[in-house]
Amino acid sequence: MTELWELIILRPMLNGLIVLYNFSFQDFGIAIIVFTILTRVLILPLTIKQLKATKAMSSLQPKLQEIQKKYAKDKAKLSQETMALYKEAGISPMGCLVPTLVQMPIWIALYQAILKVNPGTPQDLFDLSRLLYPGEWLHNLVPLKEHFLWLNLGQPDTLMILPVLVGGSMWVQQKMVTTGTGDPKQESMNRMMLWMWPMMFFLFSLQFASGLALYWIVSNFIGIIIQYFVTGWGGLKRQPGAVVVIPPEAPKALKGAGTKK
Amino acid sequence: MRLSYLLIAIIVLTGFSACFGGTPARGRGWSAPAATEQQVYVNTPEGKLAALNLSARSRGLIFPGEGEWSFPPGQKAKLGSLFATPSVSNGVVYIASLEGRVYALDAAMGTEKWKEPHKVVGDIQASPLVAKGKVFVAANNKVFAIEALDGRTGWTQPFVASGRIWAKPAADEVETTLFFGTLDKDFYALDTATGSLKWTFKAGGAILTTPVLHKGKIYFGAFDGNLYALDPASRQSGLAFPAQGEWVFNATDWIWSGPVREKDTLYFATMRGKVFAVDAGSGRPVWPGPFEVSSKFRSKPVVYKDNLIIASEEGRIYSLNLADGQMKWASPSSLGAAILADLAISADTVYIYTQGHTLYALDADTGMQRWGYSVSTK
Repeated sequence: MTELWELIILRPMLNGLIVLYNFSFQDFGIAIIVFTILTRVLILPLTIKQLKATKAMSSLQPKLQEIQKKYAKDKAKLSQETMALYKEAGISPMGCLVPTLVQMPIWIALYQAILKVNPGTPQDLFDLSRLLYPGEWLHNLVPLKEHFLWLNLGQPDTLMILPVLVGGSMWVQQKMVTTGTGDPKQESMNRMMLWMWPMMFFLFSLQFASGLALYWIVSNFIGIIIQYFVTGWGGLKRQPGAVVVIPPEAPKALKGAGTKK
Repeated sequence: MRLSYLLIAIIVLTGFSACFGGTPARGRGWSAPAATEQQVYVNTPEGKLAALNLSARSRGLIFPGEGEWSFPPGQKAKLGSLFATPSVSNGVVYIASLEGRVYALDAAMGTEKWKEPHKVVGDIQASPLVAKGKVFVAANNKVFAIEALDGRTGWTQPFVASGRIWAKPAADEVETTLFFGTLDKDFYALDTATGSLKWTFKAGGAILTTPVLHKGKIYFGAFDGNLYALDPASRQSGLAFPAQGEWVFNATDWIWSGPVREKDTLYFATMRGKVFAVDAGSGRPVWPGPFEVSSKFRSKPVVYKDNLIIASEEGRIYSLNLADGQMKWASPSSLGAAILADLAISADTVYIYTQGHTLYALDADTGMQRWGYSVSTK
């Protein structure tokens, strides 16, 4: 399994990064930024699909709530009707997950590649020699210069600037995708997710190589730009208190207020 | 839909902790044995220095036998990770831990010569060099000078190089100039008395070999596959490289093994499994062709009589004729673990410290194993 991982994912990524390094003024930080842009461009169709699916899911919330209320006691029917609604709207709940799942092996391989091309010990450097593709010019580039701005890309950012930027950019992205539903339970979950993701990646960035944090920041900023063009500012634009929970007995005219159009 | 995000979060957390395992490990490296006529000094996997008595080891006695000791004393005390090969000079063993502590020990008794270890900031990977009454230690990209006698600071401030230093420095015959290379491809010449820079040279690849000095020239290998011959006077004058008497020999792959010198010939090996012999004066190959194996050479060879003894990564030992590179003998099989540490020789015995932490003593004339000892102070 390890050999397969190395053969299919790690070695191509590691050698690709070294090639990019060569064409990025032999600056590993720039190589990571270029790599991130290329990766995001590659999965752009999936990202757009995800954002559209998320938007469509939000617009379905009133109908979903109706179904949930109607079939509260019949779980099988509830599931059947929910799926029928998704099918009718032409969206797949999995469409929201795919881009994230696709990026996971990239994160893991990138983390490993960043550490491996910046060996901390002679043994690590020796191990790296096993992963390099043949080619004199490729071998000559190793070990790469691990410094970019104030960072040692193989080590965590001790100034904590990158972890804050990772958390901040992730919060903005999460906020953009968070829309009002009118359902208190859903709103509570949204609030939790709004903070959980940024906090989680903030903590990751504190511990892991700053090269990976750099990838996350660039990836988040690209994500924000794409999201802006596909769905607009989303939750960022909403005013506090715009989401209101409308009791069932409220006049029909008030229903729908606070939900995103 | 939000539950699905929770699901992703759990997957991400599990995936990260499983695949990354936190911060990178620091406990991986190698160090070579340092051999004298009576003893061999080796770093143990437990983070101690062990002085092995050759007589006790050949008789297979339980450690510590007569004339043997370990440092620091005590079952639980340890120095941390030890990647730097010990240096022995004038009856004193100098050791440096990865965490930046330098110790001077009595070679016979293992007692400390300094009041306390000298502490520097940074990881020490390279073996200390003793010259001009000082101990020169490299930690990360800094070079420190320590008074060999009492462990006091030798320079007013450390010298800061461009990149990390992983190979032992060398000094010229009169011990006035210190030479070393960095992972950032820079080669430096410093004044041993003050630590001031004399000159620098930019190689085409990372430098992880200890320089060799011969007849006023300096030789070192680099990761661009080149063996460089520099003339200090030309470098000091800032002449374009190669100036008169300087040359480059291209071996096409990382040079991390050697060079070693015997008479006027330099011997070194590459990570592609080739051993070369090059004339120090002209830079021309001495053998009709390189000696080749299907493994890699990381370990620095030793010269014994008219033989070059070298170990491959896969654990085999070869003895080559210095004159023509023909193989005289080879170990019949692998020693069972990778060999990455430099070889050491004393009298007619070659010492090999494998990655499996076994120290082997081989007859340098025949390659026959005299003894093997699984190094442990437990």
